Amino acid sequence: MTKRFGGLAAVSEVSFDLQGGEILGLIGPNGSGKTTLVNLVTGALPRTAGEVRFRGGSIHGRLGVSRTFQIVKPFRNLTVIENVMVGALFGSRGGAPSLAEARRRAEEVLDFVSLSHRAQTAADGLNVPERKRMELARALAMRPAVLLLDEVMAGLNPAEIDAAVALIKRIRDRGTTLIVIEHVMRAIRDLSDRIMVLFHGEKLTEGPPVEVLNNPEVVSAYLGRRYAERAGA
Amino acid sequence: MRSGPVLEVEQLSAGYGEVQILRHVSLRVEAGEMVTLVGSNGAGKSTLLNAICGIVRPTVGRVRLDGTDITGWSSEAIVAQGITQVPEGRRLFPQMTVRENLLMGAYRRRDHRGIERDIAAMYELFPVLKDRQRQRAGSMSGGEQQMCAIGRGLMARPRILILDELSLGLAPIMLDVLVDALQRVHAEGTTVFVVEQDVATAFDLATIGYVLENGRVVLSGPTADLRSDPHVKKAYLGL
Repeated sequence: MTKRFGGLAAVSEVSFDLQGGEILGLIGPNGSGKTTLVNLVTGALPRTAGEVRFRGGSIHGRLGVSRTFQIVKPFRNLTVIENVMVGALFGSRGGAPSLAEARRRAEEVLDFVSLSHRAQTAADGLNVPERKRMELARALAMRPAVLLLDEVMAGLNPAEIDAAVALIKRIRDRGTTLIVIEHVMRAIRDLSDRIMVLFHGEKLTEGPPVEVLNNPEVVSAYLGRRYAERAGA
Repeated sequence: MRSGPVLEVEQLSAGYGEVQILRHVSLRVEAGEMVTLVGSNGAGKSTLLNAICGIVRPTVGRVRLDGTDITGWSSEAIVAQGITQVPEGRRLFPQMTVRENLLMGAYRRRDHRGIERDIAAMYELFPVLKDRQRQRAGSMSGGEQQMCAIGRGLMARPRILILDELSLGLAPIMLDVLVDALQRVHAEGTTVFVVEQDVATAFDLATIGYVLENGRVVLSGPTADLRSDPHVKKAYLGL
């Protein structure tokens, strides 16, 4: 796929595949094209060139590809459960379920992300980790086959990160395939089956986490001096 | 010249309505120092910054800037007195150019030559800002926006520069660049107070640290000592 904004190639001839049931980590410097790539896969942005195939066919229609956003944007005046119901009502494969069914699904995913106790709270009243989990619940309520997570760990502390890693693994175990964008290396390392690295809109490398994170090119383009010092220490 | 801390927070308590968030927080930032305050989500970091900057009114305690009691002052008056904040999430003026954002940082100044000199200094500190001076700030990457926000803060020539969540959403290598730049700013004499959740980065930056938990300062001291504290290692460094 390629995406140009005027003269700038934000994503340049990137090819990759995603196997059913895997977690693909997507890393790269700020501005390297990660979010643009997600926007191309989901169709939020039109591609300049290239194509996306979903299970061998076209990616048009309600196929079950869902995502979260880097900046969490809840419907502030709705309660948590109502926010999650929006996901079930508007994103589900095979058309919208009934309101009662949407509520049931929302209750189920809120329980899954351990947010049931906040179901009736206004979305405005959540703290940062809770907002992230609500965002995740809203995406899960669509019962996605593929879920793209854009920086759901930013701003979490180590204990919260470990909890989020465990939660994402459970999402995979329920049969969802994931692409995870993250700058938190301990999360990316623990989660990913494979890691793909973008740099200036191009694919720098991909492979198993240990291999990629020790690749000198990845260290110099992305991980940096302090990471290398800490990893070596 | 008077000696003593640039910023002194003494026994500060604050909250929202009935909810008390900060409980008797005391800390000092001496002239020319780089000090950090670390803590998890909900520990009270933002409330403390809001109380220092006049956005939340403390219920008890004092805030002093270079010896002047600024407790209860308006935010405008506090800015005029010399506190500048680089806010969480950068909060640039997205439709303005990089240069215009830098100029906004100097909105209280009238020394046009000094302003131009400082803009040149910001371009030297962050060369990418010079390349992008006529570009809309909102179109830049997160790391470049953070550079612009730091530059805007410095353009006010503050007595103390406060940074809120420097690291949020930034690639490791971008943080290396920002850490280097802030160390340079500090070496050139600016007093810096960094409020940060990424404890490893905070300790790489600052010489003195405070740890905030549930609205109280539970630990403080040289960051070299805090780094080896068993509680800090487990709860914040994930070791």
